[in-house]
Amino acid sequence: MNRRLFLRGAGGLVLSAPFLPSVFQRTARAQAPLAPRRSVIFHSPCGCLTNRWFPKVEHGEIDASALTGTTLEPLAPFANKLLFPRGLRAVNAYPEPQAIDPHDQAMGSKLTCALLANDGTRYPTSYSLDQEIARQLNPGGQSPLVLSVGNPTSSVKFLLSYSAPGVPQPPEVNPRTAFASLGGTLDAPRGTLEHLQRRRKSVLDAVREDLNNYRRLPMSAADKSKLETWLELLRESELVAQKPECNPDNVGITEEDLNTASTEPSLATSFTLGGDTMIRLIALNLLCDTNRSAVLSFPSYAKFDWDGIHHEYDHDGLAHRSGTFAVGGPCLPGVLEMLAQIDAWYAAKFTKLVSLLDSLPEGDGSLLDNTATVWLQEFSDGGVMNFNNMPIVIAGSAGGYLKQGQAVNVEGTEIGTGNSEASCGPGGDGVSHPNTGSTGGNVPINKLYVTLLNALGCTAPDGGPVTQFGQFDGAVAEDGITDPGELSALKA
Amino acid sequence: MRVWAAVLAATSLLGCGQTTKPTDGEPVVGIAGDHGVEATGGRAPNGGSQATGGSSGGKLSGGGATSGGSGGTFTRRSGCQDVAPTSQLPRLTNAQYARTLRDLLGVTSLDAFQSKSPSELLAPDREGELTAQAWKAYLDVGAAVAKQVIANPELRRSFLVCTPAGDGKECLHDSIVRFGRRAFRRPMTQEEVARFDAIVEQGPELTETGDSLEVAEVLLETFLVSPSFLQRAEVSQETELDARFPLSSHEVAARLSYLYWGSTPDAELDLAADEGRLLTTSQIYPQAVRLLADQRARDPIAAFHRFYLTMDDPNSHWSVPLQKDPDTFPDFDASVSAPMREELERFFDTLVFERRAGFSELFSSNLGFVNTDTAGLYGLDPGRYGSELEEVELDPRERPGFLTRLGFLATFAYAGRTAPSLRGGFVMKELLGVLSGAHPTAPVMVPMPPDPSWTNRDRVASENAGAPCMACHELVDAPGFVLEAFDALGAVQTTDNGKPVNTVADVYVDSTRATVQDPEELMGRLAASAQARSRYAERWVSFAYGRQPNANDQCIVDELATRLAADDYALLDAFADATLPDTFRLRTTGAP
Repeated sequence: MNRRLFLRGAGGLVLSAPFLPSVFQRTARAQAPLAPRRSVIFHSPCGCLTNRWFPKVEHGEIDASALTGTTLEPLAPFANKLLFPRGLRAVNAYPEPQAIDPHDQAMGSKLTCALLANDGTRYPTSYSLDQEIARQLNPGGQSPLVLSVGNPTSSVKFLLSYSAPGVPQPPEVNPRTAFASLGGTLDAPRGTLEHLQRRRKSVLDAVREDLNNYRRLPMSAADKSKLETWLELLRESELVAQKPECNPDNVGITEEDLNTASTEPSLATSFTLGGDTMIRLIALNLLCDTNRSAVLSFPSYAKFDWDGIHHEYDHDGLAHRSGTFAVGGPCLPGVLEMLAQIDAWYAAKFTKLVSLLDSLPEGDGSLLDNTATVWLQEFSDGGVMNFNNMPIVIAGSAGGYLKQGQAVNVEGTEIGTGNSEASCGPGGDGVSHPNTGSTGGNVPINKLYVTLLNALGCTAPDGGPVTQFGQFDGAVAEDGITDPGELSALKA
Repeated sequence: MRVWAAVLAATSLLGCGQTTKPTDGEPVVGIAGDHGVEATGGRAPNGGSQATGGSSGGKLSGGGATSGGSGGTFTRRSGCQDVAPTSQLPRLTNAQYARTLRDLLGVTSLDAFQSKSPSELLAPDREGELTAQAWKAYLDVGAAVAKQVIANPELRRSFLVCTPAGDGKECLHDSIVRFGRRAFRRPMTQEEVARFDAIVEQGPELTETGDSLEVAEVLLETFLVSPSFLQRAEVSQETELDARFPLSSHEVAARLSYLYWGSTPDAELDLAADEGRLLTTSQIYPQAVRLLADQRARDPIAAFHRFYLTMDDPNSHWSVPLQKDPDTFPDFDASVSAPMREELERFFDTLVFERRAGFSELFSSNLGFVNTDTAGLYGLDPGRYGSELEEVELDPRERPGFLTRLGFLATFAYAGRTAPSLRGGFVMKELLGVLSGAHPTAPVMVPMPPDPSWTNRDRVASENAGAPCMACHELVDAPGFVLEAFDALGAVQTTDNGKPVNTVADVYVDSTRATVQDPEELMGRLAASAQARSRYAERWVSFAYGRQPNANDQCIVDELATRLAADDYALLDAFADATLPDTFRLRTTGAP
């Protein structure tokens, strides 16, 4: 008797189709989200003054007081919707000195956790997190919304999103073009929208009646469950269809701003009005459900000369503490306060994004609640350009999956905040040294990405939960993923 | 994992795959199923020895059954009566959905989505309940298709039976009835027709102008997202006996067309279904033969062979992009992977449909397809070929069967050297079904030993020499050692590191260990292996019925495996014979 064939469980089980990649089934229907889940990645360059940026609590509850006096003080009103995953290391580090510019490594590997190509492009050899999210969550797997400010670019130093190995999706930097790409119903007059809503309701009603006909027939529990799930999804569709807010007015986009931000070429306009318009465009996308994966990044070459900041050196030079791209050398007088101004500027931008998303109601909560709005940075400290102990904050729980109002040290032992003022601050010797005193925080960031993918409802190729992302997660690329799985400590 | 724990605990070769006693002339080395579930040992009350195997009946081409489908004769019967409980609501796969749109509406790409195919736009295929993203994709694609079809005067005729005049209600009603019959793969109920007629009544409120064409677009969109369209429901309630329900002729028509064409029934199947002529095996089988004789069968059968080879499995080695070490293979260009892959697909397609081949030819045929980029690797003159693949006869002693084609050999190799464990693992696991589940631990890569005189075989043997590795690798590596006759790109190699290549190994097939000299002998053993036939039959049954291997289907697997041994039994016969067992025309209830 042939013993190779086996029943997959108890007798009478409904068997699954083997030519489909998945044998996993959703079992917990009650957990089906009523609103779509999305991710927004906000990325700022050149790291930060880590000792000023991190909240006062390394592990435990975060309330407004934990942010008082830190760079993130403007986020205090949203403290109960923030999650600080502490102790993470971005992928890129090798044990040996490398010939590759750390900026290339940081940016190319940031969302890909992959090696860079050994050619002139230095593009990563894998795809990025935002693309994976888009592929799984967007209708038709449409590309993510990838936005930036400043100049169009194809340099690895300023790119984050890669649809395939060596294939970047360069960010859109023109708000008008980004707006036009939303297309569809946004341009439609109000009356048409009402027709569309009635039409959608009619379609959904017909689907419901069809499902109800099947529901009356005797079937296995698994088949009945399929029908119930579908009926729940209809309710979700109706919620989206009924939402009246899919309108540029509701996120503050005006024709005049679009024109100004798109036609004035100055970096100042692009960073200020342009950046704000990009934030509003992201909100509009989420509102209209035209894209569930967005990235907004800011380049490192800006010489801040706006919003009350007037610098003579670009951000990268300041981050190096010397005013130039060179590593080492004497500290530029007042450099730490200049960096603090920039850090505060980015904190204000992120707060603007968080605040806008939280102002838009959805279901029982806000858009922010159903989104993971993640602030990632290029480095931890921009002078040292280190990848351990990354400053990261996530606003919103992605529909209840993530803890809120917490800092979670995922490494388990005390990490500290590092000291970005060690060399150029009081008591420093005036020469910028590559040392912030921070060596802890080496849990691979891949695990955060796995957690986010699961939070958003993405799945592994076999249909089960995602367990790994990226090519490698340690010091030796050839070892691949050595520490798979998500960070369960971040889960609500 | 439990499976592998058991493997590691064992110290002997047999710990890796418990040998069952040879019975019924079909000895098998087996190991517990993929997830370590309890082995039930293949109950098969009607199967095994009782199977009315026999190979008579001849190949399809030989007149065992007539093509044309008009009540053809056939002499084979199935002795298998078990019916596995399956879902009554299988949802179309993305490929099926796309072909159905093509056949119903003539739509293959969507203007609204950068001309992408509908199947690219849907959420990945997934068994079980619908997900939010899958549902949203159906809604978006359905709306886009409806818009595109109605906007196009040519395409819209596939939906509208007439040009709507006046308020268009009559014409839209007729269109609903005709299109609904095809979309739902059965006549609509009166209630359903009334539901769609009501949409026509509400037309002015649902559309901007109330124009008949706009209303038609709403109707079509509604059809395309209806569960009766997206699911191939099997709900006929007539009981035969013991909770076994005969499918209706309409349900059988859909089973047939989606199995062999991956798409919706054609007019002839529709007619047979409407007249209730698809209830008995003698009515069903000729249709299977007819469908298999049509070009449209080639895609689904190609998909089956990709399934057999695990080519579409994202966890398989096939999914790793082909990369070779530039120092070892300076002329290598990754673009060669496409013709290599295509050669394999055409190998199976040509053998099945043009040569009406039987099972053993998969391992013995010298059929090849080369272009200027791959010819040299086969020892042919690249200058004689262009960029298109051309059919060639390769040296039958050097290149018997698909395992000696570049596509397999280059894929199952490392960048700079061959990978005997990967090649052998594929043979033992996928082709003989001896092992299953994941590797017990991440393989520990032992650094290249200092001894520079070793061949790659020496190195692999050294790396896997320890007892825990050898429990399986003695079994796994042997076929790979035989395939050391081919380098990491698939070209013949006679020396490795300056030493003659050693292809002699003790290979374990059908519970017998025997010394094999070279690839030709290995392929001969696989071609004649009951275990290999059984695995092929099991994969086909699994693919055809859309379910995991299970005890209820054991009888059919045994029956087909027995028949595949006969030289005059074509693979096409095995494909058609999937309609012979009771399970093809019956369903049974699953868990309460």
